[in-house]
Amino acid sequence: MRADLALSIVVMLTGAVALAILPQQIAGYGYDSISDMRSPVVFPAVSAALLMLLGAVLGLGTLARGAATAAGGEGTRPGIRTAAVFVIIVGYVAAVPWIGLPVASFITFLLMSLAFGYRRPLPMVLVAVGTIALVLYLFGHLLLIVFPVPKVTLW
Amino acid sequence: MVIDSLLAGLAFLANPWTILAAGFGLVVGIVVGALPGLTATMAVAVLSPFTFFMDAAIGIPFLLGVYKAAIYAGSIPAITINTPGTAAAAATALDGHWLARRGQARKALEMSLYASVFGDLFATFVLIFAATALATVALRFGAPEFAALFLFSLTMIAAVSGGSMVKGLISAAIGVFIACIGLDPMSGYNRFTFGSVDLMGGVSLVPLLIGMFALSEILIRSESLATGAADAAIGRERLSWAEFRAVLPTLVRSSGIGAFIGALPGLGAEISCWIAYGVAKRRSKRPQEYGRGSLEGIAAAESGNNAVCPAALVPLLVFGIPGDTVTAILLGAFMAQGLTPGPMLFESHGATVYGLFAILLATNVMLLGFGLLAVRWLPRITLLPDGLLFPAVTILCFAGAYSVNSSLFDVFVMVAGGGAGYLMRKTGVPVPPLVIGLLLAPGLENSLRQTMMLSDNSLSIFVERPIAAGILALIALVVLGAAARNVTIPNLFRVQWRFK
Repeated sequence: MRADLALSIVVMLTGAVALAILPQQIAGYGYDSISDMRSPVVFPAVSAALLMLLGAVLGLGTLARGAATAAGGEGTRPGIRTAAVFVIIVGYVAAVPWIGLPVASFITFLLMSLAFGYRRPLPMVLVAVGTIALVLYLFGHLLLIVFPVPKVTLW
Repeated sequence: MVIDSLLAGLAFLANPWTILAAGFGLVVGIVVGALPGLTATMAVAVLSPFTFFMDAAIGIPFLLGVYKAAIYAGSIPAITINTPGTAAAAATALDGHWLARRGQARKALEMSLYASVFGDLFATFVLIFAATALATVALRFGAPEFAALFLFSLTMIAAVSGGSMVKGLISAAIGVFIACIGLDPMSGYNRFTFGSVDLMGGVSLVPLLIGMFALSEILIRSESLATGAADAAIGRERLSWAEFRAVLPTLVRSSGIGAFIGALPGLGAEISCWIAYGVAKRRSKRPQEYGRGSLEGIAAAESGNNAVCPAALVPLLVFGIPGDTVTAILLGAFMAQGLTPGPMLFESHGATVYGLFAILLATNVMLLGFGLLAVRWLPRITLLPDGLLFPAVTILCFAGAYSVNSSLFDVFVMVAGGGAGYLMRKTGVPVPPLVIGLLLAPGLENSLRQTMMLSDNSLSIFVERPIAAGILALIALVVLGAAARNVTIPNLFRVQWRFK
């Protein structure tokens, strides 16, 4: 119940903020043009208003049902491991421009394997190297995707 | 007469280079489609210049092979690792990955393959025997009809909303709002870009999908150290004839939907898969199984998206009008070969056109062969321990998201999508309505605004045009039918907004 109430508040706030900043974010158009369906304001305004309305409906519905029903989400309780995995992913994305894709991918692979409780070093290293080689060959060599050049190198 | 021309076109297949080129195209298409982030459009665009210097009987079959195999192969990572290889495979992930996690990856992959081949074959026959009739109907679709059709497609949100209609609508509204970000295509004004150049092009769909499906799955699976599919028996369970026979009506219906959507310019496999999925669920005797490993769901989504490929050639070949980006590139490839698509093409190059039809049929048989080889080994991916599979998927996701526009911003979009997708799944907000909202909103907004320009801001145009009025009546029937089935007076008073 608390999760659904929090969700309804976040959704309503998102809609309200979007509606509040809409005149600044769509330069040249304000709410005065909203009756004209050709205006670029209509769709963002309608979707933001819908968010507010649906957030309110969800909140009211949750309060009316009481504490009997849960949010109906997936998985078990998130723990330190989930937070660690997310931090590793964010760190990976942040590290690629600095140390390059191969090195960042290798470090990320090892850290993530450990986070998932894998403890056999040889398969870990072999699969990491194989995956990185495959990605570099398919994307970099065959499809000519130029990955970010590292800002920091040892050579 | 069509049969005679088709038999004459079979002579094309006598050229071993034609078969070889089509086969090579299929292999390339399978690799491209199976890599997250790489799309059929990207592959055909990159490879079409090479075909300019080849004979038409080699170059065109190669490109057609790439196109149809890439659309099919998007389902492979969608099923095995919950990462749609292409946006058209997003609906397949809902049921396919559910089966893979329970050790039935091979069954799901076989269903996806047979459905893709069935849908493609169905639409190829439509192309051969009813191209002119279908193209004539398609050409009567103007902005009001498209607006009505997009509105009809939005009703599919009800089918993928799971237990809570309100949460499904919230998800769809978020998708519509995200689709509004960027340069407005009609006025050129920035909308919610906050001065960022990266946001001017809008939020890229494929990186967002990769994040919402793949990264959120990794985060969900990190909550417990249970090894999921690796615990299950090796995914050797195969699709039985009885199971295939049970989904035949769904296959025919979804292929018909895909063929019709494909023939309409501007729509594509990304949209048709959701419409086919939604209609199949609505007509199913077991709708509760959708999203929980339903073979019908996989069949509907895959036949719906693959039927688009041959059908998209209908307006191209008959009128010379490309229906989507891929066929626009194919138009260039055709013209480079001296084949100018349009009404005269059948007169001037009849043998070549029917030869291409024969190749389309032959590539289906070849796709089945290649696919059967692939599904024999691919389920083993799900047997990898989580500690090896998910780090590898993360690296693949990064490369896939980055390669869409060679932009790190898209990778940030992927990570943000992963976090948002995780929170949505934890709070029971379904992700598919967001994808549908994101996919449909640009088309709906453009066609609606064009309609309002045509009618000087009057909604009466929808009643005055018979096709648009018919589609709107269908929407009313669908909504009222759903309401009559699910909303009872006591439910309304209890504010139970559930449309199951």
